[in-house]
Amino acid sequence: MSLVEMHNIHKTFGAVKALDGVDLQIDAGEVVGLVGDNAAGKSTLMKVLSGAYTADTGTVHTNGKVEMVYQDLALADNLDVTANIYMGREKLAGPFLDNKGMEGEVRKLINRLRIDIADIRQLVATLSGGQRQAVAVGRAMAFDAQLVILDEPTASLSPEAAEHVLDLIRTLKGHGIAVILINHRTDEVKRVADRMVTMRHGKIISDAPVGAPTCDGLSH
Amino acid sequence: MRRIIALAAINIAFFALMGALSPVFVGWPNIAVLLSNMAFESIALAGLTLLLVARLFDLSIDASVAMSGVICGKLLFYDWPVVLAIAIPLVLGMLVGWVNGQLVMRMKINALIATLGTCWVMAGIAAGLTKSASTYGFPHAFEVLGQTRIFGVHIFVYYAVVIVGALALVLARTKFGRHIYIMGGNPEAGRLFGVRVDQLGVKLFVLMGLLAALIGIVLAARLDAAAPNVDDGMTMRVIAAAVIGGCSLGGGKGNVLAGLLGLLLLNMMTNAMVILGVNPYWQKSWTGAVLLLALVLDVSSGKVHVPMWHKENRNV
Repeated sequence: MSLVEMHNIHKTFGAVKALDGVDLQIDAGEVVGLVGDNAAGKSTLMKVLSGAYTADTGTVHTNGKVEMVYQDLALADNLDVTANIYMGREKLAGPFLDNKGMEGEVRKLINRLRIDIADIRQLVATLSGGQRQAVAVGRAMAFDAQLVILDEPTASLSPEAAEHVLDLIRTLKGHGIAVILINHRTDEVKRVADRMVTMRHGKIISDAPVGAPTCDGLSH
Repeated sequence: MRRIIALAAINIAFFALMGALSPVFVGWPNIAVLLSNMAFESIALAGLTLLLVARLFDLSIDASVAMSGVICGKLLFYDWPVVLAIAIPLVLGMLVGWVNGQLVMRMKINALIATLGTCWVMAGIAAGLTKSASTYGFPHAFEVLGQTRIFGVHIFVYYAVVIVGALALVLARTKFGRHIYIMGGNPEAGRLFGVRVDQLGVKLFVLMGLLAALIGIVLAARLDAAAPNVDDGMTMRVIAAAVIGGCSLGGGKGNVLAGLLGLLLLNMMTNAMVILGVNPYWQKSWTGAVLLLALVLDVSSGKVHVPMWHKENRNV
């Protein structure tokens, strides 16, 4: 059975058909690029998958935990790396925060994901764009997600920082974690994705392995 | 931590300087007076620090203190049982906090304006109930709450130590406190990750209302009188202390201990001016000057968030 099975998903906002009968299947450990113009329905589809929106009709089946990394990363700049990774899900030791326990887990996590952050007590405000993205991905991974949705993770990053994010996606795949990568930069998607799904006007118009002629033709 | 060390060093230096200028200043009787003077403000400071860290604000503290004291005094004056005379203003204080919370968190009214409104309502109630005259002559069972001394120190100093210590611990070490920092740093992110930001804000206003009511009641017990203008200016002094202690009005920054050191500095300055015979009318100017100095130093060191429009104005 697949990790995610979405079948015949419809979602409307007033008169606008955001999703029009979408079927999508994701397997464990698969990296899927989700591309399309603005208002194609990519973000709406992912919000339905992550549970932020409810579909008007259709079914969503998931066989694992889904975590979404938002485009603005949703980080608190005034807090350190550990506090951001555990945001809203803090570990307790009795009535107090288990800071040692959380820091220990975060150290293991950044080693596992090969995230380049020297000091996890560093405020997130002082991190580079790539490191901030890594913290947001790390947060998704800290709670045993089987699928991570990344919304435009490289949009505001330098080429070098974007490269680190792509490496991070490869690392996730290496750990058997499925990734959906929403991205306008199809060249980046092709470098890491197994499959590219193209959306237009709320429908999937192409779903093919990266490198297949159909996919290349439609994504341009 | 650097802020705490710096403020501690400034306080020690000031204490030593004043000790050299006047031995009275460093004597135990004066220290006991200093602690008594700080006690009520430190309770308000602890509550306000939680609000400021959460990017909230409360201008109604003075009025809540006054109204609670007056209502307590009036109930005692009409021979209500002491327990009820204490419980009713405490509940009313929490109710005022809840109203502030609803106005700010649910109706999205700016905290400055909303709490200014409730401030005036409560100040009016306190003045109206007393016609601006004090109510006095309370039962002994009530007076002991504010007039008992233990080892030469007023009992309300011990209340302050317990309350301030507990709130400092809550802010620094608990999930509740962590969520306050998240709310101040990025409330939208907090919402996405399950922090109930609106509920949290209401709780903080209710806590502030409860603390203000407690101050009003104990102050009435200490003075054996309840007056509508019993501690005018407390809110502003406490805000000044919190900002000197590193709280940002933009939220997400600050802690109770640093604010307490800021409050200690302000109180030592006031106390020193009294001992040195400085005209009391100048005291507010000194408080303002210290506050401005702290802000200038913070902005110069880049530790204070300057809103974009200010940055643009700098270039004009």
